[in-house]
Amino acid sequence: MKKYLLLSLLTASHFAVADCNLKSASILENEHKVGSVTNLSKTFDGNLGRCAVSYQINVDGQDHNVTYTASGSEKEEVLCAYAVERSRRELLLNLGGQFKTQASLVCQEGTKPKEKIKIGDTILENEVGINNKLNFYWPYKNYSKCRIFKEQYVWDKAPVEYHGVICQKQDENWIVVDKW
Amino acid sequence: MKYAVLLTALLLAACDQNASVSVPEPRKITYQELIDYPLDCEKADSQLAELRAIQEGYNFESDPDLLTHDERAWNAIIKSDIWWFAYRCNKS
Repeated sequence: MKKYLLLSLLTASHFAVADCNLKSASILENEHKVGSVTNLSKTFDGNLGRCAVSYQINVDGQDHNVTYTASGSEKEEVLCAYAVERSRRELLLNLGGQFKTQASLVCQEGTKPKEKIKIGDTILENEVGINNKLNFYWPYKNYSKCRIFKEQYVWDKAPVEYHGVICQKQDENWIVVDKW
Repeated sequence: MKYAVLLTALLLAACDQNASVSVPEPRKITYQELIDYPLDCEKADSQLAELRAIQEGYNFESDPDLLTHDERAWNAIIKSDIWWFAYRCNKS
């Protein structure tokens, strides 16, 4: 069943198809007719902490084939759900203002799944993982809340774990305040 | 003339005051001592000052990928200890 989705997103500016990283500093307000996800297939690699998804989705009467690879330390269900949600959001963002153009966001398996975040980056909260031992929020300086994050990247064929702090001002996006 | 004498006296007093202020050198700390650092909210101010002094002394790159294995280990403990005070003691 198709439904209307009012997409109103404020995200960080940055878009690189090659590593499936999309951020935008502009506000998009578009009404899309979005179908449900069909023909979903998932490939989970627990050793590398990756979930590759591919599916079809109809937006504004046009079918899109989407593939996406998410990486992280989350469990299979969470990581794969994140991959679907993230890719769907990126597709809709990518379609903003160019409804007549066929577009699909494709990330090849085996490519670097995402760009490493840096201190000062603006991100969505779910772009980084949760540190289960420190899974709480606290206010900090001018930020309404902060939390510790944990994530893994494959670097030089070996998984590397990073930790850091992200903070949010009111309902704005999250800023990477520190990373180690 | 009186003003000149007064100004000179004030300057000398100020210089003398500055001379008496001693900035403590950050103590040398071993990696094991850093791991076992006794984090305590009641000592937050002094411990934070010490950890920041150590951090400034090393002046690690902010990008962890630019650090060596050992630097990364030191940096991680110092940073996580400093953040501990923020979320446990509301101190920053």
